[in-house]
Amino acid sequence: MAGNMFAPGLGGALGSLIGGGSAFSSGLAASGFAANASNLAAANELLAVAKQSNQEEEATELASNLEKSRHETFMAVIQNIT
Amino acid sequence: MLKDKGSQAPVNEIKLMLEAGCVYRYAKRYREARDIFQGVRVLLPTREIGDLALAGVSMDEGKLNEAETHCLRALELNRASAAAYAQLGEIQLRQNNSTGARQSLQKSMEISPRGPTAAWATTLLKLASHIASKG
Repeated sequence: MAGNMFAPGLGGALGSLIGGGSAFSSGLAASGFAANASNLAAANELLAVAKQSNQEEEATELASNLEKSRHETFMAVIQNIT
Repeated sequence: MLKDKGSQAPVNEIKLMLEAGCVYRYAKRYREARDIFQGVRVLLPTREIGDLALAGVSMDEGKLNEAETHCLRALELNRASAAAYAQLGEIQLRQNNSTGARQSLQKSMEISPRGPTAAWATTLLKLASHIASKG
């Protein structure tokens, strides 16, 4: 670990921090859970917005295709008059 | 002049009338569109195009029963009109008659499996599925 080269012992301290060997790390873990929960809620919200946006996009595309194909059909019927 | 069915109406003028009627329809000037398409129906009484166009105007106006009647008249004149079946399917979809709409659209696809009418029917079938999935 780079920490050991410049500050011997830091690697171990970091290791124990990450490993959860201190009060600080357990606090961090608790706040991490809270952050994860709120991140998850935000992600779900984003997902719902994206899903709704996709559905709206799909509906717009469908409406556009409908107008286009209906118009082209009428024009084809008109052109087929002999 | 039209080739068959005894009409002496000039084809190009009728096509122009129909296109002008479509422009009025898209501009939501339904009275003018209706007048033109009724004129076409008088000029071409044995063809379905007048009623088909009138069905579109009635549908845009939200007069769905009237639109359906025009469509059925168009189909009486030409049982093999894929466009009339597709138009009928769209009207039935708007009437919340999804079963009837699917049947009409399938019929349209059978008559004309390719081209713009097939694209129209396919889009309407997708729309029917979309509506069904929404419950």
